[in-house]
Amino acid sequence: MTGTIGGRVPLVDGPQKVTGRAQYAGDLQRPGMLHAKIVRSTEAHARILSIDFSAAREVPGVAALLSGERYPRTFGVLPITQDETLLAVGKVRYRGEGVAAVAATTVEAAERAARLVKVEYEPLPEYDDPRDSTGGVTVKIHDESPGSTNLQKEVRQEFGPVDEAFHSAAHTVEVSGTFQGVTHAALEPHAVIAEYGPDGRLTVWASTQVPHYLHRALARVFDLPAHRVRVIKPEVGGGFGGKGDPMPHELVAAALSLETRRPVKLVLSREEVFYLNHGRHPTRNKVRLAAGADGTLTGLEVEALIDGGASSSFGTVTTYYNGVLSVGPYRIPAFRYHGQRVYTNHPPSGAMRAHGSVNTRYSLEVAMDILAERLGMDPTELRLRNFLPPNTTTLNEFRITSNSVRECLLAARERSGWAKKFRSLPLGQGIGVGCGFFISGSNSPIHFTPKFPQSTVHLKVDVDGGVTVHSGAADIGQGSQTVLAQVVAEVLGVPIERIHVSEVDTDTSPVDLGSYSSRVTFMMGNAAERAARSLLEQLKKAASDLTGLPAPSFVPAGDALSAPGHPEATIDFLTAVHKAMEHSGALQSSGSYESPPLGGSFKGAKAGTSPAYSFSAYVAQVDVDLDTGRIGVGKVWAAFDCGTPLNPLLVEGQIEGSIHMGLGQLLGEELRYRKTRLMNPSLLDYKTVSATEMPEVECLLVGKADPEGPFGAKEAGEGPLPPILPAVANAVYDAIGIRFTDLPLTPDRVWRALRDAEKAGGLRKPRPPEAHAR
Amino acid sequence: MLAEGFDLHRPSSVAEALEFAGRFPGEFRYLAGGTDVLPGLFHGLGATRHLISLQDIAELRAFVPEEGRIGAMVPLGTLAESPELRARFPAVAEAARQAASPNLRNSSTLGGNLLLDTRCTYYNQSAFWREALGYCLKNGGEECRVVQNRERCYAAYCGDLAPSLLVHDARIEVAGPKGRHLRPLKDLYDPQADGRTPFRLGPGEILLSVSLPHEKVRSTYLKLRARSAPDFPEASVAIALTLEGKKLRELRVAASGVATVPLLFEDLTLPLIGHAMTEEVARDLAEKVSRRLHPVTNTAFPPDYRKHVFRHFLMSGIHELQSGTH
Repeated sequence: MTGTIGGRVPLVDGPQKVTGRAQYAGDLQRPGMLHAKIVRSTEAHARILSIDFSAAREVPGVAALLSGERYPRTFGVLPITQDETLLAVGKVRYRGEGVAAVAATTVEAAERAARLVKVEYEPLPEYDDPRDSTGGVTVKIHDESPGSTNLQKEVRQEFGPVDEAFHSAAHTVEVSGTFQGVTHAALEPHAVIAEYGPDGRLTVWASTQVPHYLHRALARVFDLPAHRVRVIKPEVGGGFGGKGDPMPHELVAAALSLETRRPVKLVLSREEVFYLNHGRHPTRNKVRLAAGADGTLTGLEVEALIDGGASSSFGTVTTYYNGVLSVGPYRIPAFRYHGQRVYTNHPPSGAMRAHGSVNTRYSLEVAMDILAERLGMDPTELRLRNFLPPNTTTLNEFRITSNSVRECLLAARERSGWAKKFRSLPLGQGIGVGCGFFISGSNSPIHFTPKFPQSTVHLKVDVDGGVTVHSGAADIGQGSQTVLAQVVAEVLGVPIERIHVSEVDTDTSPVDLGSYSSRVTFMMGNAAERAARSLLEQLKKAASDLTGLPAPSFVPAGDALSAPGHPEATIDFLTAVHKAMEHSGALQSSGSYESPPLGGSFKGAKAGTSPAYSFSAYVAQVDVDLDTGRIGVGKVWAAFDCGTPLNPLLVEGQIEGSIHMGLGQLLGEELRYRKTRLMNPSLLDYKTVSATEMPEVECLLVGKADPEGPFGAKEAGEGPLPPILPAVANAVYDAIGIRFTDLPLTPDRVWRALRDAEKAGGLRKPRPPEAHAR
Repeated sequence: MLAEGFDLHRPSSVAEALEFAGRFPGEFRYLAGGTDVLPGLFHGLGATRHLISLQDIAELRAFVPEEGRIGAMVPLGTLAESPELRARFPAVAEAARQAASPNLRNSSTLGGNLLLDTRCTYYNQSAFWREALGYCLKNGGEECRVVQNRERCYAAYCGDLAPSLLVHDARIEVAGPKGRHLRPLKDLYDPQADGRTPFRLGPGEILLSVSLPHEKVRSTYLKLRARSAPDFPEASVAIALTLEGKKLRELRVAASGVATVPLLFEDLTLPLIGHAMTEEVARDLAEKVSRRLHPVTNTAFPPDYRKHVFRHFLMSGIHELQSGTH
């Protein structure tokens, strides 16, 4: 290694962001640009009887008015569930859904006209509670749902002798959890500019995590050949899954540009971002554990009823993930899952950081804590007893390779002073543990045709020795451009300043499937490494041509190629570049990544398969105010296995950010609905955790190199989130002896529980286990 | 985005501001720091043809903490960071420190906070949101959405500074078409009015400054909110307390976030002057005060929780001020 990999390299696009010069979609301007506004439904479930544009048309500056019938072709991120239209066609399915759109010369004119569009509705029965969507439905939200249900997806899986495990178990534990919907709250609201040019090409600048899927959706909905569609991703101010689907407003802007032949810009307000949602699903789940007398797990049963909102989005994947992402990090010999995702008249749910795994993980880790208590065992010991080893296969045929979960837990336990604190702190103070694992890239691409690698990277070297990297991977703030630059610089042995990472532009970038499922570092990183190695071969050949030494004798280091034992034969990088392009005038290379064939052959076997998994173990210490019910999280020891961290600075940022986001869901965030009405569509009323509530975080990166990851790396974008919720909840139990299974743990709910506990015989710490951990 | 435009006027003196006000009767609003008025306008709340900014009136920015004089346009951040103010009027500095967030405190002003519009889950929403549900009483509708009725609006007064200034017996100076006058701050709020317009301020009148009496009083401010920034109070209490030996020489208690106006409980605290402040007296006072609070379900936390924390804050605030005296 030459020093770039493993270094605390600041974001290569950091300076332009902190000086305010980064250009986000909302900053962009095009000549002759129109501004669009979407007319949104005031009803949650209703037939559209009429749309009257007559008053809107009279507003000076109005250039186009659009309703859903004009482009009724459906789209959606998954090919099997394309159930969205750019604007509602025939009926609306959630309050805030787009019904019509206006393009005008100014934002003000567009808004004025949008307010004058009159829509007449015939209300239909509204479905607010997912339990009402599983049967007895009188007017279905989507006709595709079976029978009299609003079912979108149902999964049943069973592995091993489940009934027998529970029948013969020494201990069984059951936890039922209720989880409210939460949303990404990325700093940058969604924005798009679409321009249908005189050359007959449609160019779209969009704040998106998935330029490639947006490219496909645009081609599909407008029936354009893909080569006549171009997607450019400018800087993106955070996604967390909320920009992971082709979104209706992106297609609305494109439609209005097709109508007017002018560039059309559409920037969503914060309130509109709440209606777009695609956040974490409101969920009711039930987790049952069976264990032997010594604490060895013998069975796991999971049930989940998931509120999908008004459309499918990633929901089929979510439904699988709620089950299959509970088969680790513990060895589970028997497993049964029943998951149902139903439509309701809420804004659509979708993928959000640690997609599909957070709510089940919470109930499971709380169940582990309860089981430990039943056994009189320290909960860290119970976990250590049950961890999956490295290089194994789960019962549903996930291939586990590198796995340092044991090292994670031992490190967090040691650093936190667990043995002295657990069950020993004063009433109101507590310490708790939670573990987890997560995919490092979904092994299955969403689209199978045409067949192509999941990630490809092109390198182009200029005559000045600068290396331009072209990749379709979307940097949404997580730092994938920096990782690309690091990988290429490392392989070539050049300073990172030589590397320039080009923004995503489907005209020049090869396909990368996008920033979701924590796949980018692993897949793009491997593709980049291969592209750089291929380039290095060309440079070695050039060095060989210049020195007469065989090409394999050269190694890259210090912006040069040198041959050990031949100090006189050192060729500096630029000289090698010039030699390599002497006759072609060009020096370029490509590399790509295809994941290995993984998974079983049963239905749904591919869901959750990944070429590698990250592992985690967190310990959290809390202070519960017994008078007000407020939970203060003082410190978190976050041990994480992302293999070899390519850039610890970025990994720590991901861990801290994940803890912030997870604490939000645990302590205060919820999309509050009264029936179908969202009560808090603003960042004042939707209570994300503020900086002052953030705990001190000690990151413990204890992973070992993964055999297939680029330079041994695995993901760190999503896996760091799930363990924080149960770690804090288990710490709260340690502090006050009260179990919370319904989120969020707002102070008023904690206060109520404290009051009830006092009424029921007094508040006290739970009893310590008979045998303490050494 | 602002749906309809407005004209912005920037007078440089109080007289000029009053002149603008006289020129646009019923069609203007004064603009202080803008941290509440402007978000409202973006939501189509309080739309007006003319905004008269008080930003350029030097007189309103005067800040003499050692004399207890604070101009209405002094930013809350200045109050929060003033050691003199904290030494003499601790509850006032503390209330400023706990208001909004550091960046908002740079713009938001004392006067703006004292005249902060009342707030409600059903009112502080976008034009689209309110249209979808149907308008509420405060918004020109027929019915309150919180407490089903057609007469009374329950929007809550959520200013942070008023309770602290009330317990410090603040007076305000007001300028109007008929000249300037001084009056007690408590007279600014009309306890009989509902959440629509709870302020007693004549047409065109401008709040110029606040003055605090010189005597040294111990005081504190405690605030319930979901997050330590930038949330409005869900319930807050200011207490001023001075002991003479073991007996109360002075005691005043005020609240915000729990009614349509800030509340001052003089009739409950006056009878306690000259008596010892025991645990029982404090508990009894907290009970009596909390019976006067009628929070409703129009903020993030439920009413019973807000009342509970208010009681707790009142007791612990009294305890803190007493123990500090020794």
